[in-house]
Amino acid sequence: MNKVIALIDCNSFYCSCERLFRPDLRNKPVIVLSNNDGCAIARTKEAKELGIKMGAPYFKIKNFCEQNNVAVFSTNFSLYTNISERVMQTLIRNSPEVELYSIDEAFLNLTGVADPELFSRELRSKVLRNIGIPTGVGVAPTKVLCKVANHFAKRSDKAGGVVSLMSEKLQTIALSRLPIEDVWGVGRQNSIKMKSLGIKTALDLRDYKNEHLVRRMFSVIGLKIKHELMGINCFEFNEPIKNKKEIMCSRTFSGVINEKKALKEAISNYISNAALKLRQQNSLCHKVTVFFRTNPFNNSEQSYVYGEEKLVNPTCNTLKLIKVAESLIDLKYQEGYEYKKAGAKLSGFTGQDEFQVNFLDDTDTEEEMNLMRCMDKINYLEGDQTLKSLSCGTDDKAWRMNRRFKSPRYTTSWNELYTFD
Amino acid sequence: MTEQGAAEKILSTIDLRMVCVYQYRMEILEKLDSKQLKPHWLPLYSGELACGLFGISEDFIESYLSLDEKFMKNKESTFFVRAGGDSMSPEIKPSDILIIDRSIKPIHSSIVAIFFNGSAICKQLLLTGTSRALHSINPKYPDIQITESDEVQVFGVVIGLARDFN
Repeated sequence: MNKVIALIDCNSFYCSCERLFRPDLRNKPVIVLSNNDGCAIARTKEAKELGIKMGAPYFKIKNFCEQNNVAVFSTNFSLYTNISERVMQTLIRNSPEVELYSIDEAFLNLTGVADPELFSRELRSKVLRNIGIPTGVGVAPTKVLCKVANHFAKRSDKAGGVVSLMSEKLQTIALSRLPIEDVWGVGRQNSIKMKSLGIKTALDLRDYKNEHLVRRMFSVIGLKIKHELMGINCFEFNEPIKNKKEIMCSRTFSGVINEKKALKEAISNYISNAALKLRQQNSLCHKVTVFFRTNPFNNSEQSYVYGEEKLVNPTCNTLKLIKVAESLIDLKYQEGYEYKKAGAKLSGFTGQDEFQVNFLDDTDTEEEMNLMRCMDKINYLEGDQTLKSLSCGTDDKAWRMNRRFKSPRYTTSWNELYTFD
Repeated sequence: MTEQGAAEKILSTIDLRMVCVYQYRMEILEKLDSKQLKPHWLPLYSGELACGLFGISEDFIESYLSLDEKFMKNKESTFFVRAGGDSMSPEIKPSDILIIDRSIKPIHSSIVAIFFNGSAICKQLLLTGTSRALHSINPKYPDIQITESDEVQVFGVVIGLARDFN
């Protein structure tokens, strides 16, 4: 039997979350800025129509936003993750099989459902009514075709948020209208190469005769995308998520840092963030990297510092990792510069149960692991940074993130509930 | 001999089925011990027991009553908001926590959290014939008739409230 897959995707998810308690922003342009209020990372349809580009630096569009009454928000992740959880649970509760794909999109396996399009419409209106988040649904036999269907579901007014591309006839029409760069997984670089082969639309790729050439120029992935467009399943449902090979955490400071202590605190925080992610994927790391640099847009003297250390024994213990990072800073820090950005990277991963023990050095004991588990649990329940290493500092003024336009934590804090008079 | 050891010895002489029951009981007790405060459903053995020693405590092993379970029928669509003014007093007082279930369809006499012409208010919905009105329980406030030119968006139906006496 032919597979039926649906991709459900929240429309400008972060912006929709912000609109939930701000009905005055309905049909108005809204954007959400990246960490530290750097650049636009989410835009409503209205903001896109005004010409605000994805990733536009805020300092460049600030005046434009003010003149055009664009509502601007800093990221409010406690709100977004809570709303995302509600959407995903609604999908899980109401569909036969769900693959959570990202914070705002999921694949549904609707094979065997009597009327997949009707099912999708009902599910879509349930999410809209129960949670208040508008979504688009694309129904098709393969994941790549789902993405195509979803693309049109979001853009067509008469589709009512759902587009089904189950017949080849409809697929051909849709693919002929989709520029090659908008095909899932193709990317900008590859789309330029494809155009040189005369592949301008998704349809051109589907009907391209020379599969060897596609494979040679765009690897197995390119060929898989072509096959998926032809209706052959290459990306399985619920494929296991691959663990990351490195974890990086870096920030640009709102001010500058010109003392070693503050830099250590900032980097300790980045290490803490990265180590948490490391433990979440049950890995240990062999290598710690730190870097910090001055502002390249300034005319003052530049400094870019990079240091890495290999560990004898892999670890996921935040405290040990911070110690390594601090010794690297001690070794490499140069006085007299104003640092603008810093970061930390963990790499060289092995699974927690597959590394070789070196008897001369200390590996993570059960006690240390328990401490980490306990810390992660407390921070999960009580909020980030409730329990942290003192190396992370108690006063985060120097390097704290800018979040000037953050909305209240409506759904995750008793003190910030929305008020109805 | 430990309690479990003793019990197992007695049970082994009686009936294999009883051993299973006992072990299951142990699992349940461990669960309660580990202070899992999440509401969970504990299935109880309902067959007749031949042995008096283990029959008596059957009724004890039920979970705590949970307010979540009672008031959050649909966890995903349940939102908490705070009451502001006194227009719904005495039923609703300022700073009460209102429990809203967005999955419930508002009907006549539902109490709703509603966005009305730009303000967020809590009112009782009156639907009679073709007329639609927002009623304040506090008699100091007159009813508001909803007309076509009004901008109305129901956030959700208020299904209950929580009040902290402290």
